Amino acid sequence: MWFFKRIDKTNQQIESFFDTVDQALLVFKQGVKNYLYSETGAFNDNLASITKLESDAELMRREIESGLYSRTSYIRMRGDVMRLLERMGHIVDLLNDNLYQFDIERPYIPAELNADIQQLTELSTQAVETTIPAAKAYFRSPEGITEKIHRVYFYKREADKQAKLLKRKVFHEMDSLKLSEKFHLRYFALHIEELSRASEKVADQLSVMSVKRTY
Amino acid sequence: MDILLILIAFAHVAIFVSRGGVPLMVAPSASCYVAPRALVFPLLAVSLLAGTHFLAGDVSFGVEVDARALFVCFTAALVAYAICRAITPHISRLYLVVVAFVGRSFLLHEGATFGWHDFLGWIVSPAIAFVLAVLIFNALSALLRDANIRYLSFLQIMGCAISGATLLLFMAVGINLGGVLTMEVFTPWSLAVLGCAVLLAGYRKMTLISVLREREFDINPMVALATLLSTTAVILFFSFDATASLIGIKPTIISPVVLLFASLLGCSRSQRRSAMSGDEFVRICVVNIVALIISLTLGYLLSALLVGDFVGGGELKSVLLSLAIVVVVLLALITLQNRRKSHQRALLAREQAKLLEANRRSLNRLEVEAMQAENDNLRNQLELKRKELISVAMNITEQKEFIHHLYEELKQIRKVEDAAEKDRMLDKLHTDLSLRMNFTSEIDSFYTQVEQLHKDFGVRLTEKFPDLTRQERRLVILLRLDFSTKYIATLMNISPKSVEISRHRLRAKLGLKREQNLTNFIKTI
Repeated sequence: MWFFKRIDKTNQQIESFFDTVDQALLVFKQGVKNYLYSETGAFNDNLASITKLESDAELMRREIESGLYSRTSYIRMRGDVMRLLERMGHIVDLLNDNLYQFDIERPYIPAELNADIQQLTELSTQAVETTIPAAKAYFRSPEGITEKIHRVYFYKREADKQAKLLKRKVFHEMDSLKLSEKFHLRYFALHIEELSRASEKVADQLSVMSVKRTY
Repeated sequence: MDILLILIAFAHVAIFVSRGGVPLMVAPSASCYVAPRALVFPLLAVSLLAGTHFLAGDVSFGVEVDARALFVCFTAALVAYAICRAITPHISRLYLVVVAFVGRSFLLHEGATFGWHDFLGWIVSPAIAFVLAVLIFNALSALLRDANIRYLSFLQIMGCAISGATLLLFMAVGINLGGVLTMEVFTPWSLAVLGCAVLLAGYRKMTLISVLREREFDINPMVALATLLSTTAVILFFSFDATASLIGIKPTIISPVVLLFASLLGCSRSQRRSAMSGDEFVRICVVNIVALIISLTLGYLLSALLVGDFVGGGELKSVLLSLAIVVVVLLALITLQNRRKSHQRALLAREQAKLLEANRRSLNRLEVEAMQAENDNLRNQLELKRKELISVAMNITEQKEFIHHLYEELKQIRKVEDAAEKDRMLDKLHTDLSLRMNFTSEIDSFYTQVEQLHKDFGVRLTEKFPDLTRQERRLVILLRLDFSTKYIATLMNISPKSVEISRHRLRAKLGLKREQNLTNFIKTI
């Protein structure tokens, strides 16, 4: 029937939105790696891709919101779902902003820190990646949310540890760096760490939503 | 007269709908935001009437229900409901009307078929609804868990299912009442009037549906569907001979409100969540029983009144007695409502008075605190002045003593003949004078006063920089007061050059960078 087609469309848009977030994560990871190894051409491609993905995600989010507003039967969950989408959208914004900051500020990163920064990026993006199946589970089988969000918290903690390790290394062991360079590196570590914090917020939101849904 | 009675009876139906809030039958769908659309209510009314007229069940009173009976029973039920509503709004109005009919039948010896099986049905039906709701809820849960439907689709499907179930419930109620309502008063004209009255009352209350949604029920779509389905099934079960006879009961009128509550309790049991407290449940049961007794009595008394007045078969005495009882009941009702209102007003007034008193007290406390703070401040100032005076007085005494000492010394020196001895004594006098020029006690007093005036600063300085020596702390205080190097040198009994060196050391101790200003930094502490 016609109204079920419309629901299918909204369902597909929600799936696509989460897939876009996933793609943005991959592009971000690749972008950081390309910056670290001075692959300027590939890095510029990553920038272009993430910009497009961000605008796509924003567009999709608005369309989903308008779909959710069109039916009264969604009133109960509308606010929660929109907040979830906003938080996921915020993560895409963060990814985009962070990658552009690499391009604009061009931080000096000594080669011996490459592995640490990559590891931090990996853990932070992993935290976000694990929120995606949890968010999808909300729309399919809410029983699985709790199990999935445990991983988010784990990766968030690991990212925190890695960030501290990196900062300690920069300030205690890298005597060759100027203080301003150290600050600059700390600033970038904080930005990458921010991703895992955003994923923790999504996980908190999802855990509340799962309780509400099963009520 | 009959038309007048019919109109009054219909007005009572409309009042029933509007006074008791939106019929609780709409509540499950309203709680899932499915029903409260303008179009839904007429559809429900049509569904109810279709059930009444085309699919009427086997429930019957065995007597014809005329306009007088309708008037008497609805009036009795309305009064009983109005009396008991003060305690709980969850009263089955349908049962009240039915027992009022029973009361009327007792008076007229009409041979109504209402009997023990109806009461048995009223007791058994909630239990069946409870069990059925548990089964339906569990079945739906299992079905939807395995179906792996997406949430939005699930909500949409449940919305459609709940709408359909609500229509079915209204139709089932119509079927249940259909046998009873086959009477002469339901002409096309009167039905139109009734429909309009119900619709108007319903529309009026639609604006308040959010209140019902929030306060009465907060349930998820699955519970709403299970509740509606089980209620519908039980009502249909008790509407036909073929089904009701399975448990040895005759078809009877069943209240959907009671069944909805029972089903809701069943779903709560399945979810392991309490829908209402035990006290609340007992209160609802007791109030329903009391309301039934009141309605039965009033049905009997009002019928007696009408029989005496219109038929002429009753005695004047019984008519007057009935009239008196009705008047007393109405007066009691009015008094009760007035008392309730005045009680609420008194409560409100008491709350407001408490609030005012609390505000007044907090204001008084603030005033007292402000006054105390001011007094403390004045006392401190007074203490400071007193110390100043003592210090000045002591200073004067000390100066006087010193001058006297000098005078005595000089007198001694004048008396000495030996030049060497005179020189020695003069040297001693010179040393005393130079020591005196350091003004040690005055400076100490000065620092004491400054420290008292800037007590907070002293505490903060000690907390932040506990390693500072006494001399450095003094320097910090003097710098904070914007004294020049020359003054600081005088007050500290050191040379200006030494002040510069001390400043330099202090900067190092405070961890200041080259571009940072020492005085500004001290002022930020």
